[in-house]
Amino acid sequence: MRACAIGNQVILLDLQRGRYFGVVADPQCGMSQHIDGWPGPEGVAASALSRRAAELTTRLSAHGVLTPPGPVRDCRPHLDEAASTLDAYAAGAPRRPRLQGAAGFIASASLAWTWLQVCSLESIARRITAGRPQPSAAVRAEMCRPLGDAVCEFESLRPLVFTTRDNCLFDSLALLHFLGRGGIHARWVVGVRIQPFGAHSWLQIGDMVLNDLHENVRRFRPILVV
Amino acid sequence: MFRYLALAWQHDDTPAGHAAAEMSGVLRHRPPWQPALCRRGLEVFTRGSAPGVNQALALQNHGGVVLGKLFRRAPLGEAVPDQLTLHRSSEAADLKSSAARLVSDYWGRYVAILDDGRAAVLRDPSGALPCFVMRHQGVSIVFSWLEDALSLLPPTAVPEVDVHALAAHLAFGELGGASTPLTGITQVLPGQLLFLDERRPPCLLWDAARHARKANPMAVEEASTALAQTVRACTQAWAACHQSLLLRLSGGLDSSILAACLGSRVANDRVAARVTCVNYHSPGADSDERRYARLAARAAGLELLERERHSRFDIRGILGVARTPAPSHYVGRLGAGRMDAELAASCNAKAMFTGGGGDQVFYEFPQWWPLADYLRDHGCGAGLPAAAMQAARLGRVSVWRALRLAMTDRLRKRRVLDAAHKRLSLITEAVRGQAEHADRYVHPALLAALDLPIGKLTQTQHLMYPVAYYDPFEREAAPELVNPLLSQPLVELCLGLPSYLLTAGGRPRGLARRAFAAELPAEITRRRSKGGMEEHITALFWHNLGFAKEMLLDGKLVRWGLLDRRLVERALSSGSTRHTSRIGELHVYLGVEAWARLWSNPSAPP
Repeated sequence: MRACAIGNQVILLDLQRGRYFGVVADPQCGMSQHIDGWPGPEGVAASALSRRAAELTTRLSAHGVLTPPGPVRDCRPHLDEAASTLDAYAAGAPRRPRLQGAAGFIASASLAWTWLQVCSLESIARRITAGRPQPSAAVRAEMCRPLGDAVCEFESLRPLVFTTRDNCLFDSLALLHFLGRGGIHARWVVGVRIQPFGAHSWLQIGDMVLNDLHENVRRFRPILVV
Repeated sequence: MFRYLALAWQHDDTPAGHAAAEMSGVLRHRPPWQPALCRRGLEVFTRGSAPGVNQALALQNHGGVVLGKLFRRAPLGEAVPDQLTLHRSSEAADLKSSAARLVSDYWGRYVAILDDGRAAVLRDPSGALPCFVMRHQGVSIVFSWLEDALSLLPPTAVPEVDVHALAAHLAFGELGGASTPLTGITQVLPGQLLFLDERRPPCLLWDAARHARKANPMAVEEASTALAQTVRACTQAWAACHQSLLLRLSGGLDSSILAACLGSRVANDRVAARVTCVNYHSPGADSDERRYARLAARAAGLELLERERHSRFDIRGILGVARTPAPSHYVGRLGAGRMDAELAASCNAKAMFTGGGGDQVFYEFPQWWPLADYLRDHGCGAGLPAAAMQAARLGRVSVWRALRLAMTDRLRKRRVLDAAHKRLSLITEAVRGQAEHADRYVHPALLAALDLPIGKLTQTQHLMYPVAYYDPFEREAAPELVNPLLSQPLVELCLGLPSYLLTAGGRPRGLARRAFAAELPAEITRRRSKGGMEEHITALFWHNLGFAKEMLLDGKLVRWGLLDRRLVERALSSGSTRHTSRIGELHVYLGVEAWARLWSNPSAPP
C-alpha cells in the first residue's frame, strides 16, 4: 500500500490490486502520528486521534488497508521535484534506429506488456528493484548524449509498435527496460492528482523527466517511486 | 481606448429621425466624442483616436468611413493615407464591391461604415475591433463598447439576458455566430457586410473556411520562407504605429518569434518603437518560464521586465466588470491587467503586443489529424508512410492507429461542437440540450465547412473566434491589445497551408520552428513544453473559495437552471474525493455569474 496527501485528501494505492481510493482526512487529525506510513505534517507533536480519525482507522483496518504494527519501512516517495524535460534532440538530429536498438526495443516492449498482463504493481516494483543498481541522482554531463540518443531511438521506434497517449504505464515500463539495457537507470514514478482524480506514470532521473513534459507531471503528486 | 458609435435610420422615418437626433445631440455634447461622418440617415462618432494608430479614414466619393487601422496588401503592411479611394473613377462601384475591395486589397483592424444612400457596416476579417448592433426606436446603433450604447438609452431599454443563448454559451464557450447572450444585441461577424436597413440580407465577404479550402501547395522551404516573411511584415507593420510598446514575452515559441521580429538585432528601419518585454510568472514550473523569456529577450537584444503574478489575488474584482454583450474570461486579466496598465504608464507605451493566436495559426494541435488531411489531398501515395509516421509522432499514437483513424475520418459524421459540453461536469441537462440547437449559435461558415478534413477543420474553427480587444476590468487604463499573429495576411497564408506542412517533422508548429530557427535560441525552437497557468489558477481559486461559494451556490446560474446546485456544492466542498470538475471550469462559471448579475432577470428562464 502506498499513500500520499493532497490537500485534505489522502490517496491510497493498493499495489496488489492496482486500485486507488481516496480518503478525506484533515492533516491535523492525528492519523500520521498513530499510523506508520500515513502522510501528514512532520514535526508535529503527538496528539490524540480525533473521533472522525478513530472511525476512519477502524474502517481502514476492516478493509485490510492497515495492518498490525511491524518493522517500520519508510515507503514515502523520495523524488526531486520535476524541473526539466529531457531534450532528446539537443545533441543534434536523431540517428537512424540500429538493428540492435530495434531488437532491444521489441524485447523491452514485450517485457513491459507481459508484466502488465501477469504481474501486480507490487510484483512489478519488486522486479524492477531486484538486482538493479541505484538510479542516478541526477543527469551528469557524460550521460546526456547516450541518454538523449537512447530516448531518440526509442521515440523513433515507438510509433511502429504502440500508442503512448493514455498508455503512460506501458510506455514508462518499456522505456525503463530499454534504457536499462544500455546501463541507464531511471526512477519509475506513479503520481496522482485530484479534482478531478487522475493517475499518471513517467520516468525521471534527478529532476529531469524523460518521457513527458515536466509541466505535465508536476500536476501529479508522486505516490510510488521505484 | 478607441471606440466608435454609428447611428443609422431611414431618413423618411420621422420618429427614428427624432430619436437619432436626440442620441447624436448627447454625443456632440459629450467630449471626447468626435463626429467622423454626418449624413442624412447616418452619423458616426469616435473617441480615443490617435493618428497612425486608430482613426477615421474618409472614403472618397462619399463612400463612408473606415474606423481603426488599415494597411495595404501590396506592399504588405504599408500604411494608407487619411483619405482612401477604393475604386478608380472609371470603375462602376456599388457598396458591396467597395467592401469586397477593402477585404481583398487591405488588412488591419477596422470597421467600415459604408453608405450608398442606405448604410451598411463591414467588420474586417480579423475581427479585432468589436462590432455589435442593436435597434432602438427605429435607429440602428452600431458600437464597439456596449457601455457607450447603453449610455444613450433610457433604463427601460437596457437589454435582458437571453438565457437560452447563455446556456449555449456555457455549453459551447464563446458563440461564434451573430447571437449574443443579450436580447436584441447581435454581433457583426468578421468579414461580414451587414446592411442596416435589414431588407438586404448580410453577406460574408470573407470566412476562414473559404481560405482553408484553397489548399496552397508549397514545398517546405518555400512555405517556411513565406511564413517568416509574412510574420515579420505584419509584426513590423503594427509596431511602426507606435513610439513605445510592450511585448508580453512568455518565453514560448509565439512570443519569442515576435521578439525576434521586433528585436534591435534585426536589420530594419521599420521598427522605430522602443520595445520593452514583460514576463509574468508565478510559483510552479508550469507558470514560471523566465529562463526561456530571458533567452529570447537576450537573443533579440530587448529589455526584459519580470513581474510576479499574485496567487492570493482577490477575485472579487470581477464584480466590477464592465457590461459587455457576452461574459469575459477573467483569469489572466485580473492582476496582470493592472500590471499591464501600470507598466504601460511607466514606459509610456500605448500598446501591449502578445503572441495570441499563434497556437491556431501555427498549428499547436498535437493529434494525428494531419494524416487525415494528407489522405484527403494525396490519397495512398508514395508519401503516405512518412506522413503516417509524422502524424503518429505528433499525436503520440502508433502509426497503425493513426492510419485507421485517418481512413475512417471521412466516414465519421461530424456535428458542430460535438463534444464540447460533454467535458463540463456542473451544467444541467437544460444546458446540454442546447447541443441540439448548436446551429443557431455557431458561425454560419462553420456549418458549411464540416466536410473539411479534421485537421484543417479544427484549425479553421479555432480561427473563427476573434480575440477580445478591450479589457472590461481596466477599461481606459489598459494598453491597446495587438495580436500580430492574427493579422489577416498571416491567417490566410496558414489556413491555405496543409496541416501536415504546418506540423513539419511531426512537431506541433513545426513549420514555424523551422522558419525562425536561425533567429531563435535552439532551446526555444526545440522546446516541447508549453507554459500554463494551472498551478496559478488553482492557488487563486482556493484562496478565494469563500467568494466562489457566495457567488455560485445560490447565484443566478443556479436559479436559472443552468448549473446543478448539488454538483456545485460538491465541487466546492472539502468533504468529497469525487470531484469531477476542473478548476478552469469553475473559474469560467464565476466569470459568467459575475456578468449575469449585471443584468435584470430574464422574463422566461428555460
